[in-house]
Amino acid sequence: MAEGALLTNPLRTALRSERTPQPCAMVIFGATGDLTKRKLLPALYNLALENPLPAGFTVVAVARRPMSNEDWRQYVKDAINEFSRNRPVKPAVWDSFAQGLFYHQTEFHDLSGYERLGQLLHQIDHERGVNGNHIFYLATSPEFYPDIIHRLGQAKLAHKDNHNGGATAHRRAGDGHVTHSAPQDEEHTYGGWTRIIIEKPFGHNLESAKELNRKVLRVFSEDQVYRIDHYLGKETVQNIMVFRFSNGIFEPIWNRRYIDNVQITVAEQVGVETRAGYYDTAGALRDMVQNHMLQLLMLTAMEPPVGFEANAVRDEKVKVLHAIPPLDESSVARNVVRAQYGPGWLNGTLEPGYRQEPGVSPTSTTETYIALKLEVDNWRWGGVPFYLRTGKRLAKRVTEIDIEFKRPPFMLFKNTDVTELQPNILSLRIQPNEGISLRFGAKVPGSAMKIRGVNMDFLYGSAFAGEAPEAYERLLLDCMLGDSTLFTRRDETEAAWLLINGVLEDREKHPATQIPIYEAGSWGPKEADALLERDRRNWRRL
Amino acid sequence: MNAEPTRQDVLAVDITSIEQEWMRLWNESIAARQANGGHPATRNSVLNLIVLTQRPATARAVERALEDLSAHHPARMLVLIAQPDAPQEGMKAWINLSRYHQATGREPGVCEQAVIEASGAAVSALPGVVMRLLAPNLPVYIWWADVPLIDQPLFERLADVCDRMIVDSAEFETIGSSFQTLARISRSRQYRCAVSDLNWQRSAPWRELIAQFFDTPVLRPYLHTISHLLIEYAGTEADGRTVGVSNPAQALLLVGWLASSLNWSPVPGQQKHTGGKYRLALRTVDGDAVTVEIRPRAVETRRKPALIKSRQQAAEQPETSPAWMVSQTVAGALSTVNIVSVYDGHTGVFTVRRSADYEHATTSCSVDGMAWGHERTVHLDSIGRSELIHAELDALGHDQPFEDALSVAGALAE
Repeated sequence: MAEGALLTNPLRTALRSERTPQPCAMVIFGATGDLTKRKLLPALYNLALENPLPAGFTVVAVARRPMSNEDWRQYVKDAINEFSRNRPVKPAVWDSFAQGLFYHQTEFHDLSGYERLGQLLHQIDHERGVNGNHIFYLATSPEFYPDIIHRLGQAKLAHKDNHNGGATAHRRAGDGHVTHSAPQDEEHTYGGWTRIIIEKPFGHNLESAKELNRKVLRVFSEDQVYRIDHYLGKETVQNIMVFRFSNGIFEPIWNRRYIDNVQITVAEQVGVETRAGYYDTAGALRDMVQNHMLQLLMLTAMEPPVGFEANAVRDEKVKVLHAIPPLDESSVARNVVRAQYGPGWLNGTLEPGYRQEPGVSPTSTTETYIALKLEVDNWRWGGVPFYLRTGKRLAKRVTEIDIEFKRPPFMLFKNTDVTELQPNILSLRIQPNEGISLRFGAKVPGSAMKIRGVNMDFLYGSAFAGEAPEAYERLLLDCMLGDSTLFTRRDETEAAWLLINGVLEDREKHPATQIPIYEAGSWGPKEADALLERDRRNWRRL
Repeated sequence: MNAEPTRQDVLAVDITSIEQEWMRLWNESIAARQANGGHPATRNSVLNLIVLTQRPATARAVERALEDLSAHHPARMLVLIAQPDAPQEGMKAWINLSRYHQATGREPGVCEQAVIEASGAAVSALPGVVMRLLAPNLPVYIWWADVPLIDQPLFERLADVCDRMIVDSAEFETIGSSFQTLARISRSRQYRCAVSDLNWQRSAPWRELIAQFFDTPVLRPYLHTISHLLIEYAGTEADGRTVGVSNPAQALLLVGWLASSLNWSPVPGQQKHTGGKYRLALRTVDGDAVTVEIRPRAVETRRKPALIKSRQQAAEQPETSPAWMVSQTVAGALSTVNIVSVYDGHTGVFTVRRSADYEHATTSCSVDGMAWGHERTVHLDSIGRSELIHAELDALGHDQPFEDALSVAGALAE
């Protein structure tokens, strides 16, 4: 048998879908937290139910509160029954899934807890055929990240890929399980790979993000690190690249010659809900702009990558950020509008203002709305403004990218009833009613020359069948497969913080005693309208 | 049997005026909605879908199911009833505009449908009619909803005008020759047509589970030293003790898949089959023998009785549709796959077994008789025709692993 024949599974290449990862164990720190309960556990169960998970897949929960394996399994079952899109659990599948659920109690700073975790993983490797493939998921509060990363390194749990596990001789252990030959080097006991997923927020400003990166990269190498932004797991966000680069008709006009401006809107109807503690220190800038909105901007503005693989895509994305002049004191004053929602009517209910929300200081000046004007100063985009706005308690829940094209010359119609020509607008709707629409002018039937804008709509749901997986399902699977295309790289994270650092510094240097207030249920403050009116433009009516 | 559609909104038209009549209905629809102050409906098409059947009952079942298909795959849809053995020669057509619901709050979408019945020698005229009615610049999918007329000229003439030919090998009457014809069409440069099989899709979870055994590196060497394969498939229900023979196409395709993936070749003249049981002989590239046994197995009846039926019973089922669209074919479904491999003096046995409720499968592995890892139970979706067709309409291009498996399976079943 040729040795190369053992490196890959030939049955995999002959499957229509090749998206089943190698057997692995996922270790979740912060296993009893809200994110794990609402998102991670349901996502893992859905993957198990729909079969892309490998045999032997294992979840090790790490948290501080004491809990038995049995209690943890019940906790997981309850979480799935409450939050999974496939609920209730199917008993037969659950029984197999539950066999792979383990709980490990430790304080995050306690080295001995990590050493015991290593022993548990070693046992799981052999008993469940996981072969040393481990993912550590940091779903704790960010303040614990440095400690956890440091201890993982100390406990020698952060080893890099080592592909010597495939063709080793094997023996049968006393318990009847086949295991690898005893290795020489304990660090290489595991023949597999190790990856770490780090939840946002990744730092709270440029300096803290750099510091966290330094700490992470002391223990892991960059290709082991998966910084997650769940927005990138959304189908419609991924479709931005597909739309741009798989259609020959759009890319030639995707530049300053044809595009007048780009507007990116992430509008929420919800208020601060139960997140006041975090939100009041973060604000809309950190919560939305630094991550989700800049991701949308990068995907809209990037050059075509040389290949659809992680570093090629991320190289082009990060170039976009480098082409945007960071906001400094003068540009903050000119190009940034911050505001906060006051009381107002929304969906027939009188909603309280931000300062009246539970847990929020009555004198808080944290922004719940922010609008920015950015310039991407490169050959493709020079002179095309990118307007970004996001806010809570706005009139409507909508995330959309609108590309407004330049108006055509009017001369042809000057002796007709037409008074002006509307620009073409291409709208990429991320949520809800995911789809794409193009507005163009059409003649109104009749003897007079009248032109009216009409929309040509593509609605995702009406063209494609099936329920799209949740963003976390896609991203967890990608990490297991070693595909970091939809995760954020170190330089990308830091460039995003650099871009908005001026706004953060301005806020610290000049703490506001007042902040513009907009009515809940409106489209934001009048100052944001003025930002565009100054350029003789308007926000798109969504 | 009368093929005339039973729906009220269907209009009998002359075969030559279908396109004009669709346009007339469309204009009337716009005018009616505008008169009521509503917005015009959206007319969408992402593909042409041609459904072929020999039975009016199947046509009616399909027609009712098209509304659901339209919501996901807006298409110009032609339902063709081909009855070459009918005593009278003729062609009739009925058309309508099918409305389907889009997302909540949106205007309904509309797409064109026609039912065309051809009898006797007029069946030969169907390819010409189809070509005239195709919406341009859109892919053409042909779905043989019951027994395909593989041995008739119509089959290949339609293959010439389509991008994807969808069959269901669970319906095949002669498996070996049908597989060979399909393999030839899929390989031929004469046709641009890809071939796909709903029955291949039904066994997709099995292929995945088998592949998963060998994702574990320490078990992978066993993949290259397989010596014996046992495949059991669901026979038709008899009296609980005897097993009725059903269609072994899924089992043969599974062997074809393993053989084409692992470079096994059939040993000429060594394939034996009788009464649904097969004993097949193959060789690896190193010349080692691989023996394969395929046999039917009694279906335990914890499953809903309505879904366990012979092909003859299934053929009559369309009368009570839409159950026909959602039901899956149990007869012929894989029941057990048992792989034996000897590597380095150790015997590995890899088993996937379907549960009695038919909704789960359990995988297990042993080395030298000792369990390796835990047994694992996974959910097997009950995939009805409707979901299978949805998936096929999403697919573009050739499914190379299927076409490779088809070639080997055709040679084995000869």
